[in-house]
Amino acid sequence: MDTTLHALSARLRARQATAVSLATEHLERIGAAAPLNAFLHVDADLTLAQAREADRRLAAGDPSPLLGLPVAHKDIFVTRGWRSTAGSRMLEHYTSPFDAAVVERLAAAGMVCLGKLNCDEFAMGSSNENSAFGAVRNPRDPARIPGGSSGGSAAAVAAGLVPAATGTDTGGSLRQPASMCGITAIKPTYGRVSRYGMIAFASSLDQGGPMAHTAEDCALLLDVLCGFDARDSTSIEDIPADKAHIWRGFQAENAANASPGKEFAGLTLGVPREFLADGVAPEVRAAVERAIAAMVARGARRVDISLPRTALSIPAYYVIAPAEASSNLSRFDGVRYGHRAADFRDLNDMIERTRAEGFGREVKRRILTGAYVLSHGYYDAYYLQAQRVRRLIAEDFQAAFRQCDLIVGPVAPTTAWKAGEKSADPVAMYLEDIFTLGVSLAGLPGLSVPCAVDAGALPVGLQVIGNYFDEARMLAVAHRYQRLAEAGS
Amino acid sequence: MRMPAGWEAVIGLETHVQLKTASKIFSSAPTDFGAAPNTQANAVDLALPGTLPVLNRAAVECAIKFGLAVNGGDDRHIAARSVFARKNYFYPDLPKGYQISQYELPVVTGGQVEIEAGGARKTVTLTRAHLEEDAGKSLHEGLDRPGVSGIDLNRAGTPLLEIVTDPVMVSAAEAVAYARALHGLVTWIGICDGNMQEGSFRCDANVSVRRDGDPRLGTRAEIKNVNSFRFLEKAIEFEIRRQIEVLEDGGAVVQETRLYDAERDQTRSMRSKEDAMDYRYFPDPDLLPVAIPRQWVETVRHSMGELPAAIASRLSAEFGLSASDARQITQTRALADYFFALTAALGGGHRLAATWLLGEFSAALNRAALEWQEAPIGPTRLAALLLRIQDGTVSGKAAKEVFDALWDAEGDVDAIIAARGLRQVSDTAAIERLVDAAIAAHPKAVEEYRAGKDKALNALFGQVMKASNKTANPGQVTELLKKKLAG
Amino acid sequence: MRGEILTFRRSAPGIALARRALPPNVPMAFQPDDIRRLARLARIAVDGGEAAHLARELSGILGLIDQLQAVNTAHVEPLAHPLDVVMASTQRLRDDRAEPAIDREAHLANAPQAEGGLFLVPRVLE
Repeated sequence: MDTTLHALSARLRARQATAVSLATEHLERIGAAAPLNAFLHVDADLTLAQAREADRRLAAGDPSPLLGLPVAHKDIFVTRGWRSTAGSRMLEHYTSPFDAAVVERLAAAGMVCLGKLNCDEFAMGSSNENSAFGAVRNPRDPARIPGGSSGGSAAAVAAGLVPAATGTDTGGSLRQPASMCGITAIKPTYGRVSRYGMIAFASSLDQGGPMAHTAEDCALLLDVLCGFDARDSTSIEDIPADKAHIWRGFQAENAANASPGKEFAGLTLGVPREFLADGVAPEVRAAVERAIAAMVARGARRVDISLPRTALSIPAYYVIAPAEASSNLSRFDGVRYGHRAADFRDLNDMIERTRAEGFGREVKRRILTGAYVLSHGYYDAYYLQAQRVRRLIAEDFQAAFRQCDLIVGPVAPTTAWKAGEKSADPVAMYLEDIFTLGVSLAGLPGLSVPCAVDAGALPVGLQVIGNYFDEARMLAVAHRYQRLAEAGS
Repeated sequence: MRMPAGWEAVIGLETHVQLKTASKIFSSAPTDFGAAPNTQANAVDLALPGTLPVLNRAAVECAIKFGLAVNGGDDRHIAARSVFARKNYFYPDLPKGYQISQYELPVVTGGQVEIEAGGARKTVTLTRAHLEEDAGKSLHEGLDRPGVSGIDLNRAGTPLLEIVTDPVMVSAAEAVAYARALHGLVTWIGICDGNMQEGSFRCDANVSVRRDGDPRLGTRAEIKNVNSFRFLEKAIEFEIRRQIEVLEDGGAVVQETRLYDAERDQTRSMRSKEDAMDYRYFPDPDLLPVAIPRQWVETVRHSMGELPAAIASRLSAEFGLSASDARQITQTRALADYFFALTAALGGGHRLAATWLLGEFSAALNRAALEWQEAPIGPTRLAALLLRIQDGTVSGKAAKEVFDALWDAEGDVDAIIAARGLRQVSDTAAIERLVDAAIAAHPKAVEEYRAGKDKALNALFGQVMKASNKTANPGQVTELLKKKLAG
Repeated sequence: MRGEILTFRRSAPGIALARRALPPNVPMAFQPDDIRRLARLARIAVDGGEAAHLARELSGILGLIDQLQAVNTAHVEPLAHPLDVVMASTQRLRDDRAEPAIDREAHLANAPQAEGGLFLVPRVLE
């Protein structure tokens, strides 16, 4: 059955379903899929209240395209009602007195929230094994990881528990799990989606975005998620007029490229040689090459480009993100909210034990790394140097975009690995982020669209990287590619 | 205090000026003082997960005003681009675990404040002035449970301007003169209410001592949170004495933070920290660089009115006030306002007004521990008295008696003059009678004067004035005495 | 120790670079005492075993991030905000309007310990 937002919306409009029936249907599936561990908190009363309200709006003829459709939020977005834990023991019982901007916007559009989705603790991880509330399983193969840190979101969508979900991406956390679970997700340009109410990991990198089955669904969602928010100082107010509307831009792009067999005419795709170098799993490389070839066969031009500092994005990211995280997570001190240790000698001991008990291993590693790179005598060598390399990386992308419209390549070097395989080795895990980190450092938009499955039936994602504010075009290209892939399969 | 021979002190001040804004620097919570605990702290001030800072325009404007005021209206020390940084440390009343402050690019760099201490003028140069947020408060009293403190975050996020001087002051008196001048300035330009009891103006002093002529600075101690000018003076004096004693006993001054204990009149070391503070400053990624275009600075300048230093030069140039009088008149807005109201009512008389305000009036206020805005004699009534001096109705001496009566609210000026018989007598015949009587009654003084002892005239003059109940026109008395004795 | 971190089941382009930056048999960059110092700075209690473990892990991470030292960045401005590359973004300023509606009880409801409108903590020593 077609479980896209697009299809569900058609069922609602045709009165074949109601918001309440859709919500109930999905809540039942969530209950049955408990072993996936995708959801952290479900509250049927809250959900059904929203669904009933959506049904009233539907009955009144409200044309909002997302009205009545189910969604769920990565538990890094705060919500009134549902608990907001960030996947951490530190916030196990925390309830926010306000909703995140992302949550507000989708609620205002009439979407019905099904609950909160598991994730790596404070969004730190690439496998969703770092959640204090247990690892999430990949619905394609429960022995494997779903990717991270938005692993609960990706798994829930892939398993049909919810047609769409929100996620966040700091170094690949939307794209990589989407790739590993075989769904579509887009990380927008930094500053397009408000960070208000997103529990901060690394402020200069964090960006929220949608996850769904198709690029078309992502375009619908992103159209609502994007927008200026005065409560976030890094929210961008003056987006170029021709790039301001996602859905409109998405439709215009598709309308202009509708002629069969020439769906990609005039599009130049840049393929960074560093993205297809040795070390990328052969099946991943082959899948990406086939996808590119399919688009070239329908009018796209391929240019081989270079992003020479691709490998350097790893150390640059693993300085900047931990530095910002170490400071952002200092607020968790057991004073005003969250966990507080039960036994302590004095105030200082209370804070130290609270943090020792409340944070998991990966979070501690990053806090300590961050404290180190910012500390006296090391700041210039690590933090400032990383920010300089960051500029070089961003400039590399700008140079590349002088040669092409979009950059394409793999999302990750491999498909989903077995749970536990890399847990003992943080650096090995970090290296898996190599193709997503540069985009995050540069603040560029990047999406992941499924392009194949490997011999083990594990999905491979194609990464499409655009220049700033080019989300509509990226989604439109991904959409046409998806149509092609559907027709071909 | 006299500096012990062979030693000199070096003092720099860091002043936290609480800015007079309606809302906090990074949140929309109100900044009212004295509200019930945690009723003025919103989600941002509490650092709830997901909250973000948004900068208050008025706070930046206050910093721009200050930058203009300490540079004679020149904008060259106001950064065109200013950056906020995080200062990371843990404290229960610091909700985020870091304070948003400024490190590398403060709003104001440089500037100067003119002071006068011990009769000498001095320019105190400023290092910088930067914006930052205040922390909350830890309360230890009045709680039912033992061994706990209560955290009130009402003050958290209140905008502060931290103003740092170069280490250029050499005595507690200079430091206090600077603090007073700065207090006058920040209240004058309206960026601070100046209330020291409520913590709106807090001084930290960096104090070190060295042997005379030693070019190197000694190790400094920082005295924290002194909340009155008197205590600032005492704290610095104590600290100078303490450091000299330590060094003279062959010890070494430790770089540390010390608290002033007013009851014991001494400074004491704060609980020493386990390890040296490492604040891990870095640019706050939640905030972008602040642009301060010149056009904005211009607009702010126009909104400010004439700066005190400019008014002082005008008072000297146009009305002949001494530079010192002019600076003192413009030290606080309340005094300057009083001065201008007075001279307006008087239709001139700027020098006479300055002499009275800085002399008799200031002394009376000091005795009564009152500020200018609390003065019991308003400018109109004082003008009535000075008019009577100008038109010769009362002598300056008699005017002081009238002033005291006015202070005690005995009625209006003319009524007091009449009731006390203080009207100046300028009737030549009447004065002549008194002069003649004095000459007749004091032949010895007359003899001495004629023998060339000019001082003897004073005795005769005093007799005439006494006989007239201070009302005889002093100029006329002198003139007549000289004429008669010469004749 | 460092060699252990570089045992990968699958390889990725980053690894070759990481290998070059990490000659084998280099002594561990972090000792447990360094970890304890950092942990004090970050206010996280660590016991002896944990410090040793973290020292190994952070030494590995340090090997990774030390690759930055080889990059020539003379004359390159640090990039603090990603979009500075394409647009000069500056801080937006909020009008100075106070919003007094604050739900203290909702805030205190999340507190581990509260009384009389205050958040309670073990006694603060000044």
